[in-house]
Amino acid sequence: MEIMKKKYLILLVLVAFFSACTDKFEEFNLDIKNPAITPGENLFSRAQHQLARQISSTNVNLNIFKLMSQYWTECTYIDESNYDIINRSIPDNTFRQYYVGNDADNSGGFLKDFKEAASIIEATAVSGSAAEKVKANKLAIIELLTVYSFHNLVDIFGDLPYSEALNIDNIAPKYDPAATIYQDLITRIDAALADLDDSEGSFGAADFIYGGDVALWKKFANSLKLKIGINLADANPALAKTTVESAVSGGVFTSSDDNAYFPFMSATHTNPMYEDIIQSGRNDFVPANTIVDIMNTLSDPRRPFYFTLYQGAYLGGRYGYESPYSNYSHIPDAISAPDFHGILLTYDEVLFYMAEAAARGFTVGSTEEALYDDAITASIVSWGGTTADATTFLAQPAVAYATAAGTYKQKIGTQAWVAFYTRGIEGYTEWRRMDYPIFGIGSLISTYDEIPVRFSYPVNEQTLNKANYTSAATAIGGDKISTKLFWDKFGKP
Amino acid sequence: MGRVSVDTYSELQEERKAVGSVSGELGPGRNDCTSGYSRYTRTYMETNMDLMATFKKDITPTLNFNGILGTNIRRTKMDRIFESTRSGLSLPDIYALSNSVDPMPTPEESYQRTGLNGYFGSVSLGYNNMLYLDATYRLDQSSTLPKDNWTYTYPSISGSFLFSQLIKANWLQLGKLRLNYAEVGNDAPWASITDTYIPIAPLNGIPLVTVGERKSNSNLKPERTKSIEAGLELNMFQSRLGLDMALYKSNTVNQILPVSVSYATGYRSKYVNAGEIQNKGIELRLMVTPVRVAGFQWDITMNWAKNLNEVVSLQEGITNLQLGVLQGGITINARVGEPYGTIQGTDYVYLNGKRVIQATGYYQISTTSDNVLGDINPDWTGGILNSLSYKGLSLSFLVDMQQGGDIFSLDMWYGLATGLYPETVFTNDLGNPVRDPVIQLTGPTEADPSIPYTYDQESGGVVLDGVLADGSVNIRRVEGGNYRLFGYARNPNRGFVYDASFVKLREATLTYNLPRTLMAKTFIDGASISFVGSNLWIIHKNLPYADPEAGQSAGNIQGWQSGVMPTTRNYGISLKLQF
Repeated sequence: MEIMKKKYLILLVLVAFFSACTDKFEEFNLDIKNPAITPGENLFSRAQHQLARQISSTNVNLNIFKLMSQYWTECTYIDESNYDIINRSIPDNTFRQYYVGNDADNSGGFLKDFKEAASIIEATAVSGSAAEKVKANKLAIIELLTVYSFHNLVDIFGDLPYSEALNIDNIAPKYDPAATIYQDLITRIDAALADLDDSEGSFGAADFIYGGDVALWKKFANSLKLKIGINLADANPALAKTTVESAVSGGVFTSSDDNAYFPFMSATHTNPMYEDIIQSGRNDFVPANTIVDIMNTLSDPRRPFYFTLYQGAYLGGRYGYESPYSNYSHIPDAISAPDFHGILLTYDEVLFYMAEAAARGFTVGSTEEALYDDAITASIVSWGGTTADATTFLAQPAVAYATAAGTYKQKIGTQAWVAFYTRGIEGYTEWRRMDYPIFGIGSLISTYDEIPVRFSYPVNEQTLNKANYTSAATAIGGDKISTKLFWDKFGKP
Repeated sequence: MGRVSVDTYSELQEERKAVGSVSGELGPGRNDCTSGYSRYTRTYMETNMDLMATFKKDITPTLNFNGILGTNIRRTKMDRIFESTRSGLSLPDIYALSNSVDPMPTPEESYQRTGLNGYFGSVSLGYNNMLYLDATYRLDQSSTLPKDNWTYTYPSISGSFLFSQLIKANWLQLGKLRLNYAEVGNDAPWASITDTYIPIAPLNGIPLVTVGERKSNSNLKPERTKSIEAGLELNMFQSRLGLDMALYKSNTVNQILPVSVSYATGYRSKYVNAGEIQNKGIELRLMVTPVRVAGFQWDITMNWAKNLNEVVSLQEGITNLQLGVLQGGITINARVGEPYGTIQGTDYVYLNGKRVIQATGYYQISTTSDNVLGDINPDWTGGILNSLSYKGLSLSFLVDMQQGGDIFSLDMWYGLATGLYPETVFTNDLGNPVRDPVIQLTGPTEADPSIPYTYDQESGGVVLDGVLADGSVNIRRVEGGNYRLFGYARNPNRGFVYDASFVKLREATLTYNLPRTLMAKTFIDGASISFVGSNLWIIHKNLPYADPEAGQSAGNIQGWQSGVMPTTRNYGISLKLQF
């Protein structure tokens, strides 16, 4: 009897083992601290936030265009000012920041999040025509910011993984020609414009830039189209003309109230410039002499908003040379404030593009001179100056469009570049297309021609996407930082 | 036999950064800050339930049988949280999360559970204490795999033959041949088959959610390692000569790895059954006692091993297992047909075997970063242990060595650039200090580009060794005091890859056993005192200013060094008493 009991006991234990065996296995393997499903809107909000972070950042690992546009220069470690992009894997980080979703609180990309947001919103059924319109508006807004992001990326590298990108089932995406991507971006804006219906709303508060205001997104769409169109002016004048003219007639920004700003917060979600300049406790950057000297010569009224005084004057560090922090003007508190807005697209920027378009003979409803004046005025006022400041500034013969030195490229290019201060990619692109102002030559390069006109592709693409990398490198004329993008037709004047 | 065991631990890691510290990353947001407090807590629990039955039977007096049937049910649970202050400490010296200047960043939390059910059986047969045969079979079910693939089985078989039983020669004390074949199945890391989104601290009350950077895979299959090993053990001449030799080959197929992919896919990596990786090698151990006379004995033990690690094939469109992307633009890779761990980076550009110099006088650097610069795997490793003993006194010392293997030094990459190392200060070809300014007499002009560079006899600087693109020898002198001249950015990664070979006196021990007579009338049975020294001397190495064995403080990347700490030399005295 005793033996029987033992046997039953063993059997009981065995049964308990077997029945318990895999019941909970699937539950065990779930990550219960993170959501398996999410509304697409939350992904959109994050992607918009992260896009604003990336373009605002001045982290030497992530975004060095405030240096490459020669607005700022480095104090002690002058590698990035001298275009060493490989050592810190900056091309790799740029790809990662743009394409990849991420888990770190502070970094991560947005194109994947935009795409995921769109596919979830697309797949979420809604009922009623009003709800359908809201849904279509949301998808169109996501599309516009996707276009904005790809436009930045194509202007940094040239040919890119585009049509085959953002698909994990294809781990070797091919590169599309930059010119083809440009055309497709314009097509996508037109399609988004057709879908936007301002009789209904969109994201509401989940859209930090415009609070879901569809009328403003329409203006944004046309302004972005103008920005992309004008960049084609030297490479494809016919396409540039139709794109610019249809954008302007479609309705671009009409005042600085339309500006696409991202509202960073005074705590938690701060502007990355604050994190890199103030929070880090480092003194890495001072304004570069390239911009300070130009503005000093013209007594520019924006100087107190752009720089601090150093011994009663504005003094920039020589670009690309060691510039001890204590010997120069600094970046003012307003710009390095935690809640300084992220700038995506502005009214003065739009006016500068229109002025250039007029100068190139496109029909934009006004003259190059009037648009030039308006652009400068809008910039001065939006930075905190007055219209009187602008009038005084424009009255100077060296500033007035009729009397200022040089071609339209020099006049508009230089003033637009000054106005785009802190906006690295826009400043750098303006310099590449207009070839003005004349940049400084850093201490570790020798000639003007060595100033890079693009980024080389990521190391990762060479090791992980070799065949496509190699054909892209051949297609653009060599994966060098000196290879001009397709729209960049001219060099140093 | 039945057994239930529970292992558990919990740990707390704190980082306290005092107000006024040098700026650095802290906490889950990895924000730079000059003060702060972070805490990482982890609790882990593992429960094992084992049931085992053994059978034993002597089938005939010379043929013995052993059998085991058993189960192992394992459950693990890990709970982690990492949290910190943001933007510094509000009040100095108060290390509390509540003392954060700004609201805390989102904590990193995870709660991981795994389950494994294993059922196994084994049989052993022994014949006449001469022939042995063991066979096992195991079935596992793992919670980390997809349901359709979570059950997998694997066998092993091993045999050994003690031929010394047959030969019975008095010079042979032990002779044994062994041959094993084993398969081992393995599961996936936790939560690698389903995707989740990652929430970030809300902005203005609006939730922010992102897609993770690693793509999971709901089609993962268990990985499997198949290995075969043959061995020979000999003990001869009254233990004066011994040999242990092993030849092995193991192939891991369907290896589960988060494989790095092009960022353009929207992800950094993707879980896959990556392919087949092969490890094969030989291990030798030779024991010799050259002298054994009147209380004096000298023993030598020699080890030698060679391992070859190779990627046999890759699946799912993968062409390269990228093991690491590192500062300096270095990657560690494994391609099909190549060793597991090639160092890739930028190289010099060569013309007829000579380094090409740009018109500026500096080296031309390849635009590509996938040039193979080295292999992290050593050609072989070895060691010699000598032991000398005379009566109560014994001395032993161990010399270890590694031949080959490469390593990239980030320290040299930066240190030579900033002028930290003495290699950057020398007398140049003109007999002047290299850091003196270059005094150029003539050089090409726009009007006449053919004028050659000539320099004053007092000129500093260096003429880098190489040829111009047209093949002519470089004669342009560059400043020798320049930031970066000898280091990064003026030179490719190639210049900083070193041979990781070494010869080291790893350990020496001197021991004295006190004579028993001293303790005859005490309760102590025996006593010995030893002086031990370890890491005593790096006899030879080719990597300057660092121990080639010193790795990175974090992570398991080999072949790349940064800011390594010097190896510590340890001395000790040990006293052993027996009662």
